[in-house]
Amino acid sequence: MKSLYKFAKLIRYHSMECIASCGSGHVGGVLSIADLLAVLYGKIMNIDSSNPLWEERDRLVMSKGHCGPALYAALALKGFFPIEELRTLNQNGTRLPSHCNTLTPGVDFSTGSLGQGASLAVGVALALKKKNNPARTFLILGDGECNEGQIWESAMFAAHYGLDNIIAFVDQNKQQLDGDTRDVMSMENLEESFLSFGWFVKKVAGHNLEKIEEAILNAIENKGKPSLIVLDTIKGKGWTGAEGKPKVHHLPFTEKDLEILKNEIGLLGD
Amino acid sequence: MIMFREGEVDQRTALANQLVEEAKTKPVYALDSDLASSSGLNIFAKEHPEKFINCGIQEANMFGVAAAMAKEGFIPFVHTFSSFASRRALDQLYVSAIYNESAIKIISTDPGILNSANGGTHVSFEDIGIISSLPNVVIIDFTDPIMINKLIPHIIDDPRIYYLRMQRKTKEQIYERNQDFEVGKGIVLSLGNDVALICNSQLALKEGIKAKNILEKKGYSISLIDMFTVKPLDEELVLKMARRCKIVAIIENSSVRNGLGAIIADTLLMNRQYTELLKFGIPETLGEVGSYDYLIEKYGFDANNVVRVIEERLNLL
Repeated sequence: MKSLYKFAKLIRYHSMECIASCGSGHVGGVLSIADLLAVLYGKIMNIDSSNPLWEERDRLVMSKGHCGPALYAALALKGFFPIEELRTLNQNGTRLPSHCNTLTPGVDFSTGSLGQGASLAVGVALALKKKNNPARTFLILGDGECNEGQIWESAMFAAHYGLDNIIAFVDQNKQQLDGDTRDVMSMENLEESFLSFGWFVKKVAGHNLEKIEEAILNAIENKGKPSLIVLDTIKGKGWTGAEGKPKVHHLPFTEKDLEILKNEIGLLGD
Repeated sequence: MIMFREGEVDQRTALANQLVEEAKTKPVYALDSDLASSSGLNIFAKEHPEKFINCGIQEANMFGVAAAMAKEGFIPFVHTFSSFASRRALDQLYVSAIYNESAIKIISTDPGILNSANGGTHVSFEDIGIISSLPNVVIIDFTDPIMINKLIPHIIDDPRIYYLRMQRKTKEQIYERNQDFEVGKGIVLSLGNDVALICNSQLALKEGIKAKNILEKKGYSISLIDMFTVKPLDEELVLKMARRCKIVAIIENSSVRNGLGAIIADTLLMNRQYTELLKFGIPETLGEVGSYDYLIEKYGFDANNVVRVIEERLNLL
């Protein structure tokens, strides 16, 4: 577990290095999802960086596509491409646009038009079932993204077809672009909503690696229904410039901020 | 004699039967949005229940599911009415399918005025305009069941996205089983020197045939083209016709603003081919209920109006 905590710190650092290289980005959501990515890429997912399209690999759809830098950091750390490439975010001709793109080795789908990743993920899960492929599909949603009607279409579909090979996560960081989710578009109780659609639902502390892993292992055991894990997270987690502050969806982030972050997450001397 | 005659099955049945056949050896899937009884895909569902996915009334989700299935190696055919295939699920078509290079095959039924019995909310006059503005989508307008039977195997093997306009309930056929079809190549039904009539869809081609017969009786020499591939356009054939004939006239079951005629006009001008051009189809307007004959005449792509306007123009030359 100690090494997994180190991996989470490295994802935080390198995803923010990625953002620092172009001076601003989706800081809040990148930092809130880093711990889930650490568990998935550090412990759970069956992947092969030398063969990104390996047929047996577990699939991942980052439906909240604006959090590309977090995914890029995890992939670079797992060897899908050189760490140095993280500093090419949004540069001319880059393989790393700020929203997830299949240009990047290890990214299964281009996303960013919110809600669409959910349908892609349930489609993949259905396809895997049809192929008798035991690989799993992981889907990462934002809580604001759950405003989209397509989320609920795909939720209905996944339950109807009993897609128990999909595990979805909602990064419930309680903010969207214009402000707090409860002010912009309140969604009442997301767990109850998904439960009523016929999903297996679990809510966990979204920055506790042990709890996240336990919830995923539980979800894998669960048969007959799709699974949803609501991650109770803090937008901007790990950087004092954002954590616990209002309106941290998209912020400037400099090389100087990166040095501060490095200190704050305790990477110095590690 | 160029003419339509009653065939054995309607277009939707021809499509379903062909897909049933292809799915025996290829990873062909069919997805519908609670319209399988309308699209004929219920025939496919009966034969290949494991390869049919009813998505319920969820066009957006259906396009995403299909795009993902294509990415996983399947060949998904998705059906909905043209109005929904072009307008309702447009961003899903763009992002989930086109941007992700997922070769879905869209069955877009009853385009243009063909769904008018359901009312103005169900018609799509602008679908060619919308879809042709997107990169990497092939647009076909099926003319008859024979064309469907013969093109479907090719469409399955072609790793491109297809938008397939189809009139569900017509059994009429113009081609024989030995006819060859090639995507991107128009079919020359007759070759004349005065007027080239270029048509897409059975509905428009029927008016084209009528107009040709009337004009020939009046002593004119007519080329008649079935331009069943709207995109990519058979530019070579269009330019050949423009050089050969005094007038190029397009008859189409879609908007004259942004349909086949607009694409042809652009092609002609950009190739410095300053031909007399006439476009017959649907004006920029909203849909309404009405019989096909009533609407064709109202919008002015009936044979009589086509002949009248062509003669007027010929007299000016």
